[in-house]
Amino acid sequence: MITLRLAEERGHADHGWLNSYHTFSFANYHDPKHMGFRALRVLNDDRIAPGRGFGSHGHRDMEIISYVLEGSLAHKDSTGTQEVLEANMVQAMSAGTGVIHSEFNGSSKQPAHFLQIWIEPAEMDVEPAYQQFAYDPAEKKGRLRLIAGPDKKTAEPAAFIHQDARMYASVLAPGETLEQPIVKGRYAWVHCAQGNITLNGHTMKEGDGAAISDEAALQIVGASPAGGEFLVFDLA
Amino acid sequence: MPDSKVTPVNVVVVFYSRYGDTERLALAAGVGAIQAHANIRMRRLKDLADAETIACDPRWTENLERMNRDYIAPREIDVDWAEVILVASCPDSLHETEQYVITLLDRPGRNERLLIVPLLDRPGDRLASASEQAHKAVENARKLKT
Repeated sequence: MITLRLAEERGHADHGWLNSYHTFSFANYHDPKHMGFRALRVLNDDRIAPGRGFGSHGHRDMEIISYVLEGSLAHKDSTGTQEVLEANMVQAMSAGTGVIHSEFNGSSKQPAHFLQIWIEPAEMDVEPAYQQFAYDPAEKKGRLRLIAGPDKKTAEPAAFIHQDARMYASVLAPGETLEQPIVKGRYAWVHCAQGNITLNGHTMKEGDGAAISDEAALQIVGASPAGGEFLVFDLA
Repeated sequence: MPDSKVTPVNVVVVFYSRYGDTERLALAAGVGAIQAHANIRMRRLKDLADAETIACDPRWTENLERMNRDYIAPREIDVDWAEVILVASCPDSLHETEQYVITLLDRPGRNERLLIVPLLDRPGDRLASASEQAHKAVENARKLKT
């Protein structure tokens, strides 16, 4: 079964400096029907004005992944980490027992566009940790590039998260097809980040999501005019 | 959010810092409060010194620019939300926090159960001590609630 979550039906908050779309309930947007899917709790599509950002705030017991689509994001946290994140870079933070962090658009001229993903951890009270890595954008062309997962050793650099969940990124050219079997009993979420794709025959545009259960496989095709970039979550 | 069995407690960490040292203490207190399962807001008090004075000190100017991006000053709605206010003072100037605490105490219709806790800068592992003090303050507030 595939249930689409359309971009225009998401929660929306425009604070001027921050324009945010919430696939699931977040902050002032609360809809009991959209509280997450399996361990995937938050998927925010954020645009931050140049030089602006989120001041110091705290998190605990959450795996927080930032995926930059455009621009850059400067991060600072109470574990002493200070980093700048750009497109084709991934940041993952295990909040565990608690961290305080701030995130700002690293540029004074360009807006920043990024996805922030929260995955509920399987284990509470883990030691806070911060990970960041860069990858070659060619690695996500025409295939699923692992971004985060529970495996300590991976073929390509990926973030470790405390949950039986995997996040992949991919870019497909128009007409290019990707087939991905789904292990029986597992679930998936697909989020179209940019452009257009079709998922098992369903058309998806930027910001659309899809909950997938009881399906044997995903068939994703890059749609016209420019193909699409999307995330796939493999969930227990 | 994962289900948490403990009663939530709202904590505002209010601090005044010029060079970032008291800010670190406040951050450690904030982390301690989160560890004790509190919701937190970090707030920096505005400088009472005039712009000219601040401009004479490049270190102050530089840190102020950064902190102004990272924190807003405490608002009335933060006080309404709070069950605990942790106050971290800057040893270089106590005026800012003193004045703030006076406004809190004089506030009409103030919540009698609001805990106002000065954060003590103890020798030794200062940051661990700040976390510990915040942790205790949250536990005390939780006891009062239940």
